[in-house]
Amino acid sequence: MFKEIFRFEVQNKLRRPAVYLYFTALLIFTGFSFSMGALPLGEKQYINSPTIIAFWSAGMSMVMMLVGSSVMGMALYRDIEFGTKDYYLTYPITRGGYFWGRFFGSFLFILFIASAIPLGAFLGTKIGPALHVSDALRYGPNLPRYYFQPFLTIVLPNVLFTSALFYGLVAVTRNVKVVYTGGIILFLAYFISVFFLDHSNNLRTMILSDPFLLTGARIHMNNSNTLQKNTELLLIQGDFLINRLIWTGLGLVILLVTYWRFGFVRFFSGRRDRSRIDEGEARVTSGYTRATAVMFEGGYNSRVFAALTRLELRNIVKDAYFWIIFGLGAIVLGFGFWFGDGDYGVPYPPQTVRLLAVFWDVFVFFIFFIILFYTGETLHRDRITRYAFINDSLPQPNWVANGSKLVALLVLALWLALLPLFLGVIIQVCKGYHDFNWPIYFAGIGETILPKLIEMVLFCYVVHVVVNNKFAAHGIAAVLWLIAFFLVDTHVFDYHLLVYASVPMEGFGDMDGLGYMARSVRWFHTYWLLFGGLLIIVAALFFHRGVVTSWKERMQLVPERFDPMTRVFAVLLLAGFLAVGGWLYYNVSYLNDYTTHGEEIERGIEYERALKHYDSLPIPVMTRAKLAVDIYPNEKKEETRGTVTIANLTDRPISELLLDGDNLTDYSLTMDGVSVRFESPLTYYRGMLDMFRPRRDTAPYRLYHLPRVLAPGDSAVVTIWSVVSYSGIPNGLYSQKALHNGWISTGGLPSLGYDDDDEITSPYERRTHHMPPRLNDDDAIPQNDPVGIRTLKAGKAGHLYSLDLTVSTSGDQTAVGPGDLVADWKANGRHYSHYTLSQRGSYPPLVIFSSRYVCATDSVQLDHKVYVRIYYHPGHGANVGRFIAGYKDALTYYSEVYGSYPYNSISLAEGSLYAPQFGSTPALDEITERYAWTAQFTAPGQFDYCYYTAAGLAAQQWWRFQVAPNETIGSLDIPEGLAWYDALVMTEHKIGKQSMRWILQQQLWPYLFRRTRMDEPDEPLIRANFGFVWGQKGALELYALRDLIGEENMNAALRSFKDSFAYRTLGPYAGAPDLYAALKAHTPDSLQYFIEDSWLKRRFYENTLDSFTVVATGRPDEYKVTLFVTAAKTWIEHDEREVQATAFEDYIDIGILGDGPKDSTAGGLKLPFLQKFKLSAGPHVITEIVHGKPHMAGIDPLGLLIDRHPGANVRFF
Amino acid sequence: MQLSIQRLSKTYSNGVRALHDVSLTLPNGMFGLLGPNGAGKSSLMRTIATLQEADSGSIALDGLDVLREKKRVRQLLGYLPQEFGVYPKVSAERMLDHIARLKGVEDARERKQLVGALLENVNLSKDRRKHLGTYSGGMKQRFGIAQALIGNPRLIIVDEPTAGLDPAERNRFYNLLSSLGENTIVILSTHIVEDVSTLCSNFAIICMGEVLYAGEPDRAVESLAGKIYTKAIGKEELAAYQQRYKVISTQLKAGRLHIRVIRDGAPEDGFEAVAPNLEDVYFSNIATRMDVNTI
Repeated sequence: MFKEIFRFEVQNKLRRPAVYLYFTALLIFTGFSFSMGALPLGEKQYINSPTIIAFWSAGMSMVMMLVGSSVMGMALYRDIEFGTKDYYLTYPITRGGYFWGRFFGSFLFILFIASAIPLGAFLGTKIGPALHVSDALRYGPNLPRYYFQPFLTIVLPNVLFTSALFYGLVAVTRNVKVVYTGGIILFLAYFISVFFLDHSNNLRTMILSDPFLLTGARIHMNNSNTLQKNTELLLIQGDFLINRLIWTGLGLVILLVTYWRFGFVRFFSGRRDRSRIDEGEARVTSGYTRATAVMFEGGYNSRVFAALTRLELRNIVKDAYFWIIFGLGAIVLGFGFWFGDGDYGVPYPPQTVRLLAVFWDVFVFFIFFIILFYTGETLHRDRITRYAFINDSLPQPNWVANGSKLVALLVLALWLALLPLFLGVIIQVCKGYHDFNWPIYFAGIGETILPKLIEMVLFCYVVHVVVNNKFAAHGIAAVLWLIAFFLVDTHVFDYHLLVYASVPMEGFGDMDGLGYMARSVRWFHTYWLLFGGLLIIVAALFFHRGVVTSWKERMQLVPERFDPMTRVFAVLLLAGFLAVGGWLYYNVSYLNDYTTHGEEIERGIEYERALKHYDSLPIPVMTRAKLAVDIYPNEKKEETRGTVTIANLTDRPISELLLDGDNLTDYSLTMDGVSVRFESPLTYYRGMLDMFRPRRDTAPYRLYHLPRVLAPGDSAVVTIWSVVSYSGIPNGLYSQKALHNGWISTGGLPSLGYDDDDEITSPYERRTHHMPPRLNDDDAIPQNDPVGIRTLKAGKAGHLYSLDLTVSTSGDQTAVGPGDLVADWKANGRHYSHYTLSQRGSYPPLVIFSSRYVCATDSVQLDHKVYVRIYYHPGHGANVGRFIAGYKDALTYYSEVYGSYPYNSISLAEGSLYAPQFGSTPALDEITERYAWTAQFTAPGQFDYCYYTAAGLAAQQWWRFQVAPNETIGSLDIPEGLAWYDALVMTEHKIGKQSMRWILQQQLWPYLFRRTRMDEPDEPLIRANFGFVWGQKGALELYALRDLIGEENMNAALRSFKDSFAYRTLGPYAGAPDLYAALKAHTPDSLQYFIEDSWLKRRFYENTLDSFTVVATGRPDEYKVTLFVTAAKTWIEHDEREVQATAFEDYIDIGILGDGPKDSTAGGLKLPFLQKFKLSAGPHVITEIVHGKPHMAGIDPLGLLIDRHPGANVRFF
Repeated sequence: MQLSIQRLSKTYSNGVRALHDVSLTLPNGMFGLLGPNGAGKSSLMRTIATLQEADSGSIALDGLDVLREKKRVRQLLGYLPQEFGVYPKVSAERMLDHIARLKGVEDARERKQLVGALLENVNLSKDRRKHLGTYSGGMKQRFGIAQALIGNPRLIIVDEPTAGLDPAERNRFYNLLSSLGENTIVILSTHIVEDVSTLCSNFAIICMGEVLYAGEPDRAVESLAGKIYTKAIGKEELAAYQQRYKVISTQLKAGRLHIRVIRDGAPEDGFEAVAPNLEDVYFSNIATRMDVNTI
């Protein structure tokens, strides 16, 4: 009996395409990931390392939950759905045979689908190198046990658990909704629970509570070193074994209990079929009554439309599963809103712009699936309940029947679109935040969310109407939508006019809402909504009514349905669509130009081919600029007029200049009163989608021919006029520096010289186009390169220059520029400001910010009075005091130890959401509105990163604008490394050394994490090649050095460095070796090891506190603390080999931290105890007697050293 | 009112010929459609009820082109399908009210009155507030009848309406149909030949998509007068008799096989002449297309 049912089940499933579809999808996805290496791999971890295979197996077998519900659930549900129960009940089948036959028959297919996991991984490891998408070296040996062991120990128990769960659920509830939605519900519930448990910090709980061992696999991977990751299986022992026992056991228990309770009668007796016994006599009736008046005119259509719409909505809303799915989604969104985002552990308030960003990240896909699912339900309900046989012959016209369903779904979409509003306001109120920013809510919902949801509904609707099969339609709609999404998201094809429902959508900012992008969004949505109207017409033509069995019949009905009214609408919609489309096309592809990704690459290659030879042109430098910049934010226009003094500091005459004006709309130069003529040496073939533009587009590179030759040493004054403006609507993001409120100007000057940053850097692309490999990849100009050291990092034409800048903006805004504010006035409804960079001048770049600012001013007395001005968006002033404090303390300290600050003010301006996170120019810094300004500091122990950031930015006034870095590799150690080192120092001055540990870790983690995930290895500090090296590692090593050699020595070194290199007008400019030399000179011999380690090598400590004892000595408040520590150090060689250091004697802190003794007269060692020990490699025992109760002890307890496992250094108690 | 079907044909995409050149004229009153399963009765009814398209032919209802002007037809149609479902979580009363509104009964009070009366007529008054999902098969069928009759239908199509009804309910239903009054066409398809002979003023026999006979029941029976003979034989003799005579029906009674044959003149000994009935009309027509032996 079992055999029969088992065999039937297998045969049945063999013929179902669904199983093969799931298998193939899983195979392709896994194969893809393993061939590309698109996995969370660690440093030098093989793509097919056993830990990653285990991790992937756990993850994918969890995702299989989505299909498990339908495969296992349908096994049992089929008999209910198809009504075959009626005869099953009369056959001599056994309960056991039926139950286990169905179970194992389907479970076999679950295993089949699951086998795609190891198979796909294996195939991926072969395909990757074969197709050259991945380097063969990234794969280790393919040992069979790497694949089988995770399959048997992770995948098998996981799918057994979910299969038992769903089988049991369907057996008990007998409801089809469990089949569809069970998977999704559990999937969401899993994520919520993981989210909570991730915060629990208890490793054991985390491992045991995850039924799929995914958390366990992740923890195991993170705690292994590279060698372990590449060779060791995830052994099922200890907590892992307990996990498997618990969850597999639970699965078996569920299955057995379900079997025990399973009975045919109970299973097959649906509630619907409970028979009713009629009681009582039938009353004799007076006969059939006819209605006196039936009316199909007048208000019939509208009333029936309304009634049907209500009916459809009621059907959705009465569905318990709708509320479950919706509720879960709302909970997830609510969590997202509640926990929000934060930096450095300090949360931001639930600002409306942040909530909307969370919504777009988290919720939009989820809404798509709800809409798709319920569109299917609504359209097919009548057929599934077979009510259609009655309904379709009733007199409501097609458009009423069809339209009411569509309108009901649109109402659903509206409801979903309003959810972020309701939820957002509730959460804002709960958090006591009352700045609701209604304009952003309404713009966000009305202009971006609602149109998108309407487009989703129309799309899902027409797919479901045309593709008559519910599940096929689900699949097709989902695939098409995802394709459209990925095409645009990955920029493979992002031409918005041709991808349904895609609009150039960017973010919302407090300063300017959607900015000028609002216009783009509105027009593109209008375009796509008109297209959606045409989709409605298609749906009306193909709407299924009655018993229609073939395509022939459906096509037959089309002319009948295409009645005059429909024709009128179709024509109107088509006309509107074409009109809007035409206008948009004119904007996108005529007024502007659109290039595909491939065309961009072509252009980069052409640029190099055509203009590379100009690289050898001698370039003058700018020594003086007198500019008037007029900003018109409401016209999206900026105009610059002025003079620039250029000087020839090379040894060759200059007759030609190659200028790059791609940041400008138009510009002209005049020299010696004569307009300088130019030619445009490069034109591109127009983008293939820009069919009406001239055949060749002129590239923004101009070769100017100077009217007189500029001899070496000579200089000239050039008059410049330029304008920046934006016309029309381009395809993508534009005008982001030119917002109504939040303007960023770079002064309206073109850039000078051939820029190899504009070249194509990808070696693969270069080879494809037969270009030679680049000499200096990624700015890796060697430190002895004679040109490199004489060029500023800020640009080829960069030089110490003086600036006289008058900037004007609209009357309600303030324009903030670099240097000293000399004058400020209003005239003709405009607001003028006059800035100068005089005295010794400064280095580029030049940036101007204009917005409707509020200004907070303070001052600090250095050797002269310096004003501190903070320009910020109204309402964002919560942390202004912190910035001011940071600047004041920093300026005081830096001017004392590094030398005088040259300007009479320092300003901080708030940038829009498109501005860089933070940046620095002479006397003017910027921080974007998204960072720091609104951070909510509530607890005293929180890291005041506003103070810290201000201190770091202030330091750049010395390390970028008095000493300017050259163009060689590693030179960014100077402006970045020193600046963030200084920020750490200032923070330490404020909060004390003992409190620095967590802050230092925040610098350490990005370094440790990112360096293992880059395509190229990181370099030692002196040749720093990544931001996390020169910024984070640099700051940490400098801070540790200061701790070793002492603050005085450090300051002396830095002072001497600055004095040698500040205000240079002629190369060589400062490079990393120069800073290194200055530091080395001030480092005593006994500590030279440290500076060599930190600068010249990649050195990692691996110190550990193995154990400790704390014993009270008997005397009051006195303890004997014994620490068992191990000191260890590793170098990573140039060939990536790890070398364990065996013979060293390094100074490492041993610390016992806590409160001081209660009795201040007690002698002996007081806490905190912190002392440098000279430790060799290996274990050591250190015993101290301390006064005061210890809280924490360890080796390098302050976390000064770069250590790969800093958590192993200390214990808290 | 007159419903005129001209040369209606329909072939399904799998090649099955559901209707082949069907022509019928239906006057006011009850019209019975008799035929074996798969004859095309339901296809015909669904086509008239605007649920299905035809490949060729036409249907005219007093000048209204039924195939093209579906909306107008639906406005005077009452249809009880052979198989149908219901929304399980709606009550009968509410569903009927909704359908009444769809059928053009504007006035809320009138709807309430009509729904109440009809629920009484089909004996569902007691259960009118219960959800349709809880109804038994027979109750569902009675609901179907109610929804077909509600409103003001002038063309009523009932497809196997008495399936699932006990004899008393069947009688009640037919009483209801009879009281429908003038100027209404009722098309009734059924297997129960007796119902056609009792109720219908006209009828047609359909088999394999073709009309085999159309006319009035009495006349049909009359035309077979003197042509029907019966004899009791042994089971094993059937094949022999089928060779010699046109056997139109067989019936097993108390171990003996009673056969009925149709013959212009008296057959050999042992055969008894009997008065014909509508069943004989049915079987004699069907026998020209199918093997009607019930053994």
